[in-house]
Amino acid sequence: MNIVSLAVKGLQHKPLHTTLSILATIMGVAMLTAVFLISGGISDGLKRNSGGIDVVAGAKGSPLQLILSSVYHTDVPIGNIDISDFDNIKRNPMVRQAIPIVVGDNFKGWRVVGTTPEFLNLYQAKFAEGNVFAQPFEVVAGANTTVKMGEEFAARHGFAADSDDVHDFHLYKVVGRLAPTGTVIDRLLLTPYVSVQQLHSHLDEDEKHNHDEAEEELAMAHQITAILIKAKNGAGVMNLPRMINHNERMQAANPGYELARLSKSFGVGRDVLNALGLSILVLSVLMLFSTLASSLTERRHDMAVLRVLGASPAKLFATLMIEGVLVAGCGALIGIAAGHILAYSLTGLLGSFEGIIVRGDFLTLHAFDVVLFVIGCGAGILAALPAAISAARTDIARLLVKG
Amino acid sequence: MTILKTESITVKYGASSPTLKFPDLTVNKNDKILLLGDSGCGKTSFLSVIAGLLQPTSGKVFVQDCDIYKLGVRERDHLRGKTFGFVFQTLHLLPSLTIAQNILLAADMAGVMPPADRLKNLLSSLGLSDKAHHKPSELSQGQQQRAALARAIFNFPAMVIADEPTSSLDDKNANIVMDLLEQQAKESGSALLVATHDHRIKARFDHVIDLTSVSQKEVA
Repeated sequence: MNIVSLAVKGLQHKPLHTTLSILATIMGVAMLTAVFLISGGISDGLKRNSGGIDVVAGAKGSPLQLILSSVYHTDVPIGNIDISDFDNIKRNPMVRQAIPIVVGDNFKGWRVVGTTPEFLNLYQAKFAEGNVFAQPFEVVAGANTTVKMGEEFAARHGFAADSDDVHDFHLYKVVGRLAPTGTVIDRLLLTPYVSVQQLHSHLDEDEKHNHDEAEEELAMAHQITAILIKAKNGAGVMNLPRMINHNERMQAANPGYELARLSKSFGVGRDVLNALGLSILVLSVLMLFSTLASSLTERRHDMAVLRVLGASPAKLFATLMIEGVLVAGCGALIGIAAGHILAYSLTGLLGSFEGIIVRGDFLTLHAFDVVLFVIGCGAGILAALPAAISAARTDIARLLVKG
Repeated sequence: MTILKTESITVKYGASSPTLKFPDLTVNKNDKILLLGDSGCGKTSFLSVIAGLLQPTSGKVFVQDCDIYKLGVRERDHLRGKTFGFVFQTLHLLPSLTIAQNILLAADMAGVMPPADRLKNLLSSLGLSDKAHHKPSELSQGQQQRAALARAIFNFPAMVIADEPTSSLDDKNANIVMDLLEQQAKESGSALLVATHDHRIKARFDHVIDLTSVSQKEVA
């Protein structure tokens, strides 16, 4: 019987306390892991998904909403801007690249985005099969969408998959499918922007629309939702928004700035969760400390016997330390795994992160996991230290006399 | 062959407590020695000094010609583990381990390796063969006593030290325990040192040291 199995026996002797200590460690570590993964995943995802866009121009309203709707495709668009504004911006010498997007329809919940082939380059998208769209109503499908090559479909108005407003007078046809990129493009259906415009100019053929919607859709025939802009240089990034904001129908939004604002607001939530996770971890250290201390009180005589049998004080010290590290290490290990599964399941439930977060990343090992494991074991060492020192100092003669 | 030799041992616990002076003791192979003395006369202190568990205030302890208080703690622990087997008044079997594990612990902690069939033979000679995988709490008092004895002699110690092995037992059981102790010590080739205030077992020993009369207490 070596000291590790002696430590295990010691822990098994107090199963309830041991289990509770492990559980508390699991909870604390799982929480920290999940918060770290999700917040890190969101930050990384948002950065990766910005596709190097410096400025987004769109209808006036909330700049954050403009970024979320036209870069991350998670919010509804504010409104539209005129196609002539796109032409003006494109000709501006400070602009290196300007990509128009038109959104407003979906198929089975996948957003149909009217744009130009340049959009694909923002995310370094590669084709899994087929080619880029060349004609109106040809579609390139993102990797996560369920449409098949050659499939024809009618888009529905709005972003709800069950919308009863079906544009069934003109069908889209899938001509290409993209390989996964881990970005928002994976869940989009891309088509030349003129397709969306043309679709909405056919309102006279659709008798179901009422008058207001009819006007709105007619206007859409000459409009786009937003312009994604890459500036030529730093000066452009600074000056383009000012120029765009001059136009009374448009506003400019800077993805980096809006994201910083956004992460500031969800950062508070993250900090609260981190504090909670840390508190649970501290609690688990205290629980482990009390478990080991109370179990040592009961095992004083055992310790004395071990000494009499030839065990050195260092051996008793090590036995108690191993008990602490075993509990904390097990808790940390299971906690890290649980945190990964938690992050994976939570982001699966909150579907809006799809395309921003690469959920698969949550199931792989991160450097942070190793750090957390070391912290967990350190917590175990800390919790076991008082009991271990006390065990090593066991006054054998006195204990055995008292019987 | 001399197993143990003490020279002018004194123990003083604190400035205001008396100094305990112990007679010089020599234990040879196959010796059977009784340390007799009332409670509080310093029997357990003397045993602790002999076992290397309590540094004497003055004097020397030689275990197999080795001055044990000149050794480091680790060497002294190791020497104790392989030279001595202990039997206590209360049994001190570890409740979390089985009987077999409790007995094997003696070898593990002392870092020695008795023959592979030692455990089997010992359990069988003590009538505990079917109890090897039971926890101490599942055994009767007598069985636990035998298990504790098994642990004490498992390593073939040069000397078995028993502290009050019979004090809490009636005459019949005191005799049974002493018979077992003598028989097992003999079979393991171990000398036997018993410390007790129990005069009933005095007749069994040819060498009796009366600590009450020999040790001198000086009030500081």
